[in-house]
Amino acid sequence: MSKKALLFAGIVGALGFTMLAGSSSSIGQVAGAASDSLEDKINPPVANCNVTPDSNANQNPPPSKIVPTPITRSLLTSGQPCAQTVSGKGPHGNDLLLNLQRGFDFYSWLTFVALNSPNDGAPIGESKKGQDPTTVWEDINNYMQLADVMLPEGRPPTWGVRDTVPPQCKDFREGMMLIRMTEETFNQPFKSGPLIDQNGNYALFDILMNEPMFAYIAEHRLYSVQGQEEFAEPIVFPSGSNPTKDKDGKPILGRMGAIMLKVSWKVLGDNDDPRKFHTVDAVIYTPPSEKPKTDATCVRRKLGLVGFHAVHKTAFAPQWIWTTFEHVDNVPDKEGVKAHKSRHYNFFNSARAASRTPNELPPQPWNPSKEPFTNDFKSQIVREISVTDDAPALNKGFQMILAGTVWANYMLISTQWPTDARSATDPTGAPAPTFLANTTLETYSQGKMPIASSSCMACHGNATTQHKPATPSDFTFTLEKAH
Amino acid sequence: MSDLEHEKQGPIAQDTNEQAMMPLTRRTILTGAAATAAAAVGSVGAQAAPLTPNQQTDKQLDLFLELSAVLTGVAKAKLAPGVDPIKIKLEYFAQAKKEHAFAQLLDLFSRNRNAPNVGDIICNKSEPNVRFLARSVMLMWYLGAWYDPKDLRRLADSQKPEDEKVFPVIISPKAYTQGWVWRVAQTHPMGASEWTFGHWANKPPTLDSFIKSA
Amino acid sequence: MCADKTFDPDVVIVGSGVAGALIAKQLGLAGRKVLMLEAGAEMPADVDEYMNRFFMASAKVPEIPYTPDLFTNRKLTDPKTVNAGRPTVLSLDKDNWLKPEESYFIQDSKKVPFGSTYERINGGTVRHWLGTSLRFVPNDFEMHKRYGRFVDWPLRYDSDDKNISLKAWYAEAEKEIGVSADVKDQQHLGITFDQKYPMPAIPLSLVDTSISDGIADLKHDDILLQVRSTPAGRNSQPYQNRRACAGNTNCIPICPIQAKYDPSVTLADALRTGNVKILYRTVANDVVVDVNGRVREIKYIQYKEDKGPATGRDSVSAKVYVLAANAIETPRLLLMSMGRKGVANSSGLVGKNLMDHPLYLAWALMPEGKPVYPYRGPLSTAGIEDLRDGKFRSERAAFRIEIGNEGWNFPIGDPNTTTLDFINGINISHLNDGPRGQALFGHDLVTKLNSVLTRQFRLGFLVEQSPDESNQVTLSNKFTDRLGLPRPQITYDLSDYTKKGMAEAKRVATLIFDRLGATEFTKARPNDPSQFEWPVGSGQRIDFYGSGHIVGTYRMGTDRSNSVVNADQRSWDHDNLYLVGSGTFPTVATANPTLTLAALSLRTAEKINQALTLR
Repeated sequence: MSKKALLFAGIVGALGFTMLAGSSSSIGQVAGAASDSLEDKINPPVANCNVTPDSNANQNPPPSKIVPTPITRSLLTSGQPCAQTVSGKGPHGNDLLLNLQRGFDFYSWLTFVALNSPNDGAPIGESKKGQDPTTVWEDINNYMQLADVMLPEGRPPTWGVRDTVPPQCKDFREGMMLIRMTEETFNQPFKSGPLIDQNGNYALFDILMNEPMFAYIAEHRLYSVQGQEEFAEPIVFPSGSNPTKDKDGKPILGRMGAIMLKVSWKVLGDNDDPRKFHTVDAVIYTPPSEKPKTDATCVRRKLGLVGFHAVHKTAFAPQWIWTTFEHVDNVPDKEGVKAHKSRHYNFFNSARAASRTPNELPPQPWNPSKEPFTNDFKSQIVREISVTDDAPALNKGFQMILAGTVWANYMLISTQWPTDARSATDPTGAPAPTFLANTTLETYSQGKMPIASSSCMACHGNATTQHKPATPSDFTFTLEKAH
Repeated sequence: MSDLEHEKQGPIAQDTNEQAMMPLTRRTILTGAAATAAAAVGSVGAQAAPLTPNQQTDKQLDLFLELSAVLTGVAKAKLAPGVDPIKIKLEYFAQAKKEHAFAQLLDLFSRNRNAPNVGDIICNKSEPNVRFLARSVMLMWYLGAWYDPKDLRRLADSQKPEDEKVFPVIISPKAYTQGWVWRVAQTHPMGASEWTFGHWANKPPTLDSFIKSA
Repeated sequence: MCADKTFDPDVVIVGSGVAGALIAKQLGLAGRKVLMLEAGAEMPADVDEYMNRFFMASAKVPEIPYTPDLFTNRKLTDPKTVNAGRPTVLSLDKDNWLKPEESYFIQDSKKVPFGSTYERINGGTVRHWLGTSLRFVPNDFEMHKRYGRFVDWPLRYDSDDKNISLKAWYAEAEKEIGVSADVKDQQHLGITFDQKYPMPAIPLSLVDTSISDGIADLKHDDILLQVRSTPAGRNSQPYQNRRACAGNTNCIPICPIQAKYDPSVTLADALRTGNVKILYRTVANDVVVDVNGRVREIKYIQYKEDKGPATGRDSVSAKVYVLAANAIETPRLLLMSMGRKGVANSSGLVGKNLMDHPLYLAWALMPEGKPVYPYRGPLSTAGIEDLRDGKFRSERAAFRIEIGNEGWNFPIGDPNTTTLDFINGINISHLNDGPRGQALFGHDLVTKLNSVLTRQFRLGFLVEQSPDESNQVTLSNKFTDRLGLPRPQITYDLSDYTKKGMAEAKRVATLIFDRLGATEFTKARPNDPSQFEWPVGSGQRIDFYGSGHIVGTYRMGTDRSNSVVNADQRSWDHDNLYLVGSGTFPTVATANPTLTLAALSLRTAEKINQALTLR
């Protein structure tokens, strides 16, 4: 078996995922010629994996002084990481945790830059298509929206092909964003509540996946309930890995592995400066309903990106690596509430800081067809856990090289990664940091209360398929959306 | 577990590129613990300079962890992993330090740590202040709660301990979820499961996988 | 906070527990305007505060996550200082069940403690239910016809007359709650199904399968005992945008991921219709009836702080009124109304026939080398249901057997007690046979704790209590809450019929343990009010617990002389007043009451909607 095979087997065998007991399918995935070609089909080798480390600490021979990697414009063209490149050695001396966290945060920025680069291949800020062109992930040839993968009646989806554009959406053109309204488009997970901006509009949420993730779903027919019921094996999405060498020194290409995204948008309106957002021309389709009886609608809106989750499955992390970015103007943290008396925020009104309880739910009923929200309600959101460790410094560095583009208005919150990925006793792999939330996507579950507060892995670890009995779905809730 | 063995070594680093790409392995993560300890004690061959307050605290913390491992029966690398996002050791150290007999307890351990019956010396044979503090420390690791050593003594001396009223204090929600009694029972704390649907129909991981270091 | 006078409700519902929530949702969906009056605190944005209270509690009782706070200054909160108080498990022991400064209930020293508690908060008591969703067996509705005992219900499990058949309503309730089970496991004792359950059965635990394997072919009185998956309001699939169970083993008091249904799910749905409003911290204190015998309005008192002053008094009128405040608080409200003349009580039965499932708890240790790995999975996933019905019901109470997955947590507060035993050299658990005073540590401690904890298990026997008019809730003449409202006064005892059932439960427990080769550790507490001697004069005592199943205090029946409400749960005395919840049950049978009361609630919602259409 190849080294990689053992790598996969090591992940599967040591996870302690009891549903895998006795199964060998994941090992089968890579052992042998026939399975290699299945892996090549789903998760093909890629050239140009970005392996830029966050410092020179792991150079050989070891450097006399550990120096952080300079954040220069060359990083804007360094490409998409296929996996993390991190080390316990780094600018923080013997503090392994801080060094590793820095490495993951740096890798997250490289990922953010790569995904948000123009889809015509130009570097950020240099596309001929304009100041703020379509990004890599907004291109259906690179990433597909969940609604185009989990089709009605469980019909098989085709890569790069959108589901029929509803007739009501006459304005839709390729290059625009089509959002199909479901509960999850406006109501945060487990119906925990919508987010209302300063103009009384609902924030909108969407989920996308890259081709390896799609290919795994398509190959195993997981796009339908029936397909999931008939798939008896453990769900193991393909992993990203960096290029390496085999024992003879022969180079082995990296693979990208599965990447899933979750994004949050706000409707651009009064007091929003579009130049400070990545914007998109969108149509929002609301299907007809029975109770109460309403017709289908399709409205045109200009949307600004306010939140961005990128989740990457790598060979190191069976629990995936979770990173999240926000628009810099979203909300203050607790210190910010005290300090900034009249600063403009997307989801906080400085003038009301003294009189309003933060992070309250909007009053029911929640109906995105009724905007602005009744009784002038606007969400008043505060960040509960401040951005810490190296993220603020990295944010400063990357925002500087992105200056002049809309992307200088975004910041990394943190990256959650498993400190004990191979744990036999903790399937979530003892994540660091323990808690992580995006104020636009996990608005009401911010905090540090075990189990109750937002932790990417702790929550997603509960995700299951629609197989009967339910089986773990490898940290993604997308499979439960199949019809 | 042969696959884990392989994982521990990682692909052999041959050159700069490979080292930069060396995947994270348990060994690389855990070496941090040794590095920290070495730094705390002072580099080999250096003059015996007095320890700074930080270094003193680190040394005390390390001794506390050694003691805790001996008393609880759980490996030190499990109580306080080299890469530790949770750092429950700091909460417990802060709690135990408040007790008058803490220095005495550490000292007794330090003097006897190589004795084969060090646990018995501390938990059963030492003078009451130390003995019951040691038991409080053990209960803290096991249950995430602080039992006042005076209450433990009252229970131990009582003819009817079941009638005694004792009020343990949970140290924090985090501490409750880090209780070792659950792991020793090969499960998770009630109210905090890291597991997935249906896992209860299958046998749990072995006791050793919970309490022994890799 | 004053009532929104622009909101003119068709229906007012007192209580936002499961019954009130289900009815509010159905009426809201039908376009009716509904105002709910909830005595307790509002729905939080997240469960962080509930979880914080739970994590920090050293006594993790069912009420602990919820407000009002159980403790004030390290003592049990004095109920007279609380606006919307309720009983707590901690005020039911021999030291305080008779102390009004600690116990919300005023209990009768000549009888036994009523051992069940409830919540007055958004979502009500079902916030901390276990999730068990068993249907009644057909004979449960005909105790008098079949066994010459008690009364028949005015409804049936199934009937050609669909108007009195509950079967279809059970299916509706199972959909609303989200019940996981397989029909093939549930067709015992005459139970039949017309459709599948919404979700497949929750997998059995290792405790369940060990017991099942160990008691193969075991019979009691010629009845084969089988371990059977328990239908539960707990997701075995993603359902209603909630996750599948992850085995947090914490259903009571709170599921951290809401895989277990709780009524806040239904309340959220009700609010989504745009037709339902909820006033929290609003205590109904008077049901006002006019000269025509119709309810004219409900008066209420509002407060802001749990122990603070009242902030307002007001009233609300509607076309229909529903009291859904549970089987103690609804009679309390009825009895205190109209200047304590009482309402809806021409039968004199309001507050009478108070019943529970007195619970017999038995615990044991499997033999060395035969661990069952408890403290995993939901608190209970299976039971033995075969003894819920039979000819013996003419002589003694039936019971169901609940298999616990939580080791000895319920009987002795483990794993804490046993851990304390071995670390401190004492023996409260009776598991420490080492020398007194000798502490274990290190490897010995680990292996000992592992050995005993992994072999612990317990059985709970839910015994059918007989209805008895002398078991009742009335109003205290002396003790009030902070609003000045009289607190519930309870007189409660167990009949011989019930005690014989408990004694039988004890026998069956030992039978099962013996067959398993397990060592029984069940022990009655020394001299405790929640126990009785059986056989009389033998000196042997049997402890009992409350199950939290409060039932019977405004029973349904066929006639205004023998009941408080009719089969539609409508008051005989006031035709625009409905009383819902398990208080309407004429008998308690052996199934946990929530599913049945949910089915009845949905049926009543339809009746109310029809009645409103006819107006």
